Amino acid sequence: MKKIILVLVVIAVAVGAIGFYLWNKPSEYVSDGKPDYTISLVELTNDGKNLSDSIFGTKYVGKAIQFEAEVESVADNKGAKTLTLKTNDDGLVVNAGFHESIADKLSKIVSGDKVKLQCDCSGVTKPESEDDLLSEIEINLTRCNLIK
Amino acid sequence: MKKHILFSISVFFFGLANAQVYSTSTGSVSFVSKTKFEEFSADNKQTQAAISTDKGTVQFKLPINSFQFEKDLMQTHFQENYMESATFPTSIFKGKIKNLADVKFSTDGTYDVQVAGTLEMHGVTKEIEVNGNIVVKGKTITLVSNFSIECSDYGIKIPKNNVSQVSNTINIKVNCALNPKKKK
Repeated sequence: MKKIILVLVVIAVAVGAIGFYLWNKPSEYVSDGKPDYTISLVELTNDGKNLSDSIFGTKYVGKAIQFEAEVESVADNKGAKTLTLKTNDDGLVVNAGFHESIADKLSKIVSGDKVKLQCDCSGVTKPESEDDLLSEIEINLTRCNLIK
Repeated sequence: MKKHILFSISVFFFGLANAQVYSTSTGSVSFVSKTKFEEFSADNKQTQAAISTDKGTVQFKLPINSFQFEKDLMQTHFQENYMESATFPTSIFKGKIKNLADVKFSTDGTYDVQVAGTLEMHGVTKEIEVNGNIVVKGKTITLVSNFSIECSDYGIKIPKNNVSQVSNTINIKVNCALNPKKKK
């Protein structure tokens, strides 16, 4: 009987510890591990232009994408950096967002630099009409990691 | 009479010169959920926002997966269970400033505004009205607002066993600094 109680207590403690760990596990600020897609930026932007929002979403949203690109500009929002990437298409913007915890890694990145990134895709937004204020197609990438 | 016509023409052209769209792709929107037992928040620093200073129209687009939480489990639940972000990846607000005449975009200052429009989230579109501020400083226009929404209004279901941890009422803070949109 004592053994059974002991086993139950050990199981309860283990389950509690696992639950506590999972509940408090910090979220990932950078995309690491094996990417779901290793593609060119051209392939990604073509899909952003040609696929519907929902099909693009099903294919890419929440997935880790590794690609190479050229930096067009660097923006800072309270420590969180965003790289706007060159696309050769005025009507299409790709924004790669970085968490403030890795801002130092980007301190030397300037316009014109070639970079290799791994990011989680947040989706594509498209203008709904010609007079839409947000008139560009925009692909948003988040939790980006500077590979090189 | 000549003076009057000249004045009208100059006002017309001055108006055209000032008629501009300001925008950003790196605006901030955060939210807080607060219950007796749990409080958590998340930030989104990839909010697209724009304003037309002559028409008084504003627009926001939020990629849902760009919300960053402190805890991994909350982030996963938010994306997969509550917002279903693979199906509804973006939330969109389109509105119009009701008291546009009170805002002087050419003069630095903080202006109280009321904005009426539609908020599309989780596949549901609902009319809302929010109060906020427009802060004009040089060539930057900052849109600031604090308001609340009800999850149930947007078909976001909170499971019964999570009601003590996740509030149906979500407080949202908007802070987006916009700059003149580059003409192509």
